[in-house]
Amino acid sequence: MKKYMKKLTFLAVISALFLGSCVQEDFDVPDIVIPYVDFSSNMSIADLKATYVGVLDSIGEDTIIEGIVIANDESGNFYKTIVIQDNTAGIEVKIDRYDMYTEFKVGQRVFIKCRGLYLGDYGGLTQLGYIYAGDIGRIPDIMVDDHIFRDSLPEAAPTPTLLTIPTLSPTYLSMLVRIDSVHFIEVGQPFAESTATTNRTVEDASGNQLLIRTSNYASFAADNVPAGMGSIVGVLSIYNGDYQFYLRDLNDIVAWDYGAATEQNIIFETFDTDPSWTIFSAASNEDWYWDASYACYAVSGYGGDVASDDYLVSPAINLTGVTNPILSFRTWTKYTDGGFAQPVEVMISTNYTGTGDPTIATWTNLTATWSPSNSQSWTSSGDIDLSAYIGNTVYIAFRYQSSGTGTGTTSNWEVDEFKVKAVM
Amino acid sequence: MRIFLLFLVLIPFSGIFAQEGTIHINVKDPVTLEGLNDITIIVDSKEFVTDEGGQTSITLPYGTYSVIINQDLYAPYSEQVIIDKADVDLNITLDRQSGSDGGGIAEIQLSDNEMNQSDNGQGVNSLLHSSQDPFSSAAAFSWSAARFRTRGYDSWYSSTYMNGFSLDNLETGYGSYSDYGGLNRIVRYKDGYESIKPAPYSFGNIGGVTNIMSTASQIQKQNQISYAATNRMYNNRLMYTYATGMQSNGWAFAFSISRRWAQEGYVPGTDYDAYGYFASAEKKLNDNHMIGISVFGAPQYRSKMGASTQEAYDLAGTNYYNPYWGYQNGEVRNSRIRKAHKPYAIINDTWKLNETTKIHTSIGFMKGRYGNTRLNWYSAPDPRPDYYRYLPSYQTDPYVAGLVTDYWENNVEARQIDWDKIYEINYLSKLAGGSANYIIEEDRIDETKYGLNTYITKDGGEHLQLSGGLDFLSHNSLRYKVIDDLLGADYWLDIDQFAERDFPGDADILQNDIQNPDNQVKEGDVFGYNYKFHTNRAKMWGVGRFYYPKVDFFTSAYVSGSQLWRDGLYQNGRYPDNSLGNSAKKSFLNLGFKAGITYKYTGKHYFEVNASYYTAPPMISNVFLAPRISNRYVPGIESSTVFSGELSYIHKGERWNGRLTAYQTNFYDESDLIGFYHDEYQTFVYMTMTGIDRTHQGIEAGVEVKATKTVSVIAAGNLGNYRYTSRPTAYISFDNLSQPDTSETIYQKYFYVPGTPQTTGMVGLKYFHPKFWFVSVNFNYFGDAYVSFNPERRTQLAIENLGPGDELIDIITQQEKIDGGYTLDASIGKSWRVKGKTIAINIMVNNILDNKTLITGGYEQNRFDFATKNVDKFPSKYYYAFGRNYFAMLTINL
Repeated sequence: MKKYMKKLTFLAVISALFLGSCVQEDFDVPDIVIPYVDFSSNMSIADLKATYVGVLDSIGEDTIIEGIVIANDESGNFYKTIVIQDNTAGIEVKIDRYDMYTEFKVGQRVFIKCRGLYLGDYGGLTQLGYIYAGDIGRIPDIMVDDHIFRDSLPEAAPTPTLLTIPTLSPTYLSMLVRIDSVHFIEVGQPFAESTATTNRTVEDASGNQLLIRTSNYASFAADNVPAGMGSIVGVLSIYNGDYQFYLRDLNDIVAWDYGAATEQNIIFETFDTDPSWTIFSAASNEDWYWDASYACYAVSGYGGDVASDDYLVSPAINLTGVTNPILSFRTWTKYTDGGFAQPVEVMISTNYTGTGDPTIATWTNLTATWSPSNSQSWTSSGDIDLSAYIGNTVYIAFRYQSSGTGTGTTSNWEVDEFKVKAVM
Repeated sequence: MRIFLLFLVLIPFSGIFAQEGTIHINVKDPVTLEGLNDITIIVDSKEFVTDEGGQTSITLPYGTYSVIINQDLYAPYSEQVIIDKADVDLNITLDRQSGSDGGGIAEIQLSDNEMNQSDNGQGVNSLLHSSQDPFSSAAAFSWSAARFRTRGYDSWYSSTYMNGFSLDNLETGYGSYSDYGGLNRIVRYKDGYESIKPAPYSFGNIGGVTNIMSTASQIQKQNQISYAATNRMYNNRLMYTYATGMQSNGWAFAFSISRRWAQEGYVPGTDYDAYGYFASAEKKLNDNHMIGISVFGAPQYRSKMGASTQEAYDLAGTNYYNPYWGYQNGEVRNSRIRKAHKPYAIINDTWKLNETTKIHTSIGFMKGRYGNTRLNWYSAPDPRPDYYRYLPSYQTDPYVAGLVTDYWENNVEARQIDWDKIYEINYLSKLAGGSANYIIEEDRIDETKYGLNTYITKDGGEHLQLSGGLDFLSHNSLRYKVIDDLLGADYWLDIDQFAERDFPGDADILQNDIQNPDNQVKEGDVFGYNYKFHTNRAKMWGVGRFYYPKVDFFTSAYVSGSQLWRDGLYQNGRYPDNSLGNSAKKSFLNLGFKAGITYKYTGKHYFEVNASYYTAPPMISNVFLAPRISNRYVPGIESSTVFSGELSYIHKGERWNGRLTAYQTNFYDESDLIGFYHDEYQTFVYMTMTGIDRTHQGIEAGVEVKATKTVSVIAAGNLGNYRYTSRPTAYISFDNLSQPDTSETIYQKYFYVPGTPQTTGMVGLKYFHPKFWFVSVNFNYFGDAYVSFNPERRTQLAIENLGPGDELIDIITQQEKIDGGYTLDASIGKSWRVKGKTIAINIMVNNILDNKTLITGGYEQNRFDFATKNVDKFPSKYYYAFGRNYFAMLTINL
């Protein structure tokens, strides 16, 4: 027993040896460092932008600006870009780094030491960046920490400036702007097509329009533009004189009444691809056809077997539950048919079956403005009021006729931008 | 099957002629050549002790016996002896301890290397049955630093047992040395058979088979403590072993515990803390029946080193630059930690039915965890400091490249992980109520294994020894990810960010578990993927070994049935219909044969021919197209076939021992799965190659010459030619489903098999002083190793649009050879006996010339810029052998 006790004691000593001298496994959570800048700015953003004279310019002075981040790359709608503003103006800062939003949150105060950076512009929008191939480029990643300094933790973003579409002005470029009481035109279509940055349109009650520009890489690109009406918040931009408006994400669609009645397109056909409308030939072998090179429907009786009488009929257009339905389109023509003052007519039917011979249905002519004879100019039809047909499903037909098959007895016609809009 | 019936028929007939013979054993010291007294010899589990002259005599029935000697100061000795006449002489010259196995140093070296490289184990067996064979000991001790694999075989072509129970992992095909790391005193007793030689306890494998004999009665009686200091993977090792040997009361006990640890190993940022424990008890029920139990495990925690590109090494100014660590609060923290612990319990029973027949039965159970941590990130900058966009080579503007170079060279936060920044970003996200941008996740494999191996050995008289058995193993592993550390954030959103990007607006496809969508996971929560692999295997085998004066020969066969399937625990958004629940079950029927003959020209000259042919089921990790997220099998998955032969001349003489072997092994229809981030499609991709054929041929030789009584010269070398011989089909599956599954032909025919030097050489000198000190010096050469290649660069797609003769074709497709290199190693040791206790000091210094440019391995990144076809955009990453390193050990036998 005594012998075993001795061994046990020995084992205990050995065990103690093994358990000594621990290797570190748990790490402290580092203290949160609140960024602090111990210098101050010496120029407003407006003054800095004022120094830009329209050609790429390096900043040689010890200029320091300060601003609050109002937009970053979080949703992907801004690419390698942050936008900052102070009380005077805003500016885009181009930076060659991904996922900057992780550091430059909206509401983050930053100071930028501008010496060594460049001012340039893209389509008229002044940007702060670096030089790339003789033009304005992004600040290289490696240089960012020497120029851009965060100060304190992010706070609430500045209140957007409330403007209306007519009161937009260059002063507000790259600033956070809010516009109330607008609705989207392209309801039901995605913010961006999958392959390219896409423009959508908002319109106010007075019909003033503004482009909403969205990158196909934005996280909300595949979401549909909402129906209804409300306010939008975003960053004002400009490209070659046209204002563009960038949403940061869908939270920028605010105070939105999704059920509000707004003017929307029931159909808007630009004929970029063949929509396969109903084509019916009452006479001649020269019919309406979809013209791939001009992206429109076209017709000409020239060279036909007999004088033409041809119909082009739209798909069904449902005017139930809408107010103020308006038809519009545009036309183009060349050559003069001596036999007809107006070889193309536009007409409407409530009892066409949707396929087959339109001549057995009842059609009522509508009044439109047409392209002047042989003018070769695209001419808008003007707004054609369809209020008389509210509550019906209607078809619109274009009827083309020629008096013969040769020069002087035929004319060429094209139809494009066919649209029916209504408040709904 | 027919072979088995034959065995079953043979066994009862191989009669019981209980003739007896006497074996006269004479044990000598190798240097003094004097007889050694008081040496304990174990024969047939009985102990005998030598007299003053080093002699003892034992009378036993005719048959084959293993003679085992485990003695302080000397290397373990084990030999099969046949008693087939009235008097048999056995002259044993023991090897001095430190000479042959470096005092256990080589085992340390091995576990280092195995842990050092990714997850691909290496020639465990070449170490485990390193013996007096000069080639084998060179392979184990001198070339392991360069990751030499004997005959180029992968780890799964050798097998390891402990007390008769398989330590092999059915999912990887081999048992990792680290499962029992630090138990050097326990695993030193082994019954090993190289290449395709026949073992009495298993059909074996082409890379050899080893049974670690660690039942309590087989472990030498001892009470030993040792301490080692080293500058390798760890700095300290403490080891204590106590064993009683078989006591008069019929009980034997053995116990061992060890710890290996370092705050920082040879490579910066690698801390290490590993334990080993072992306990065994064995009871002799009667003269014919022994039963025992062993329990062991090796909990380990260690930080890894990562391979990097030469550009990063050069910028950092060292080839031991490790991108995995960084400072947190001023302390070194590594992002890649391996935490593993796989405890085993093995019960074994040896029952002697009669003088010639024994039944050995082992029942084993293992349940353990294995995990590797790594950084993951969501919608945030890549935190890896050596990400290619952060390196000067990515910059096109020379001025900017200069700035980046300067930053990298002079700022540790540029070269290493910036933990403080990571915490800051997570904090900013948390302030806004957001999810973590960065986390540490752990990929877990929780294994359960149990099985039974039972076999019968039968001495069929003087010329025949038979054995056969049944080996059943069931293995399953739960595989999942778990949040290890949220790094200051509140939660992590469990979605697939690559699917989120490619399928905007689809709320289901990005879910990792549809049944728990948009799950906000916390520390300790399972996420990402979650499934279970099941593998069962039953194997029946038999071997007959025949002994005649001029020839020995053997024949052996096996048949096995195995079954495997996947059980998905998550319904994945990309595969909602075939990710949850059990997959179809795949079954494989396999068989194998081997045979060999040894011609004993004289007692000195032996000629040996062995051949083996067998089929093996694919490993479960290679049969699913996208195992983490779906139950779909790789099309046409099938068993692989191995055909191997070897031809040897062996010399056993007074002055010199040596062996010369020519070998060739053909592998057919192997499969292999690799998973990687695909740069072009920007998602994780699984690529399973099937129909991989290769041929390994070569010559290996080793010789040890006793120049004088005290000086030996050793030389060994291998000339290999290991080549792929087919064009495998690669099945590619995209984790985010952005592309349909596809397949490609990989043009790798006649490529060299990477992962091992194909040419090695070694010359060494050993000096033994009669007063038990020794010194040895080795010079080693390694050459003809190749970097692991990216299969995608060997496809038609990679060279699409290049005209015939375009020099880019060669640049894209050719293999990268690693420069050869050399090392100089030395060791010195001394043993004393003080008042009946032995004290030994061993010091080993490797790479004395401090060669820091020896690449031990590397890999091409699995990304290729298909657009520009610029192979330098994603250059190879390399591992370097340690520079000068030492291992110094003090051993005290109490």
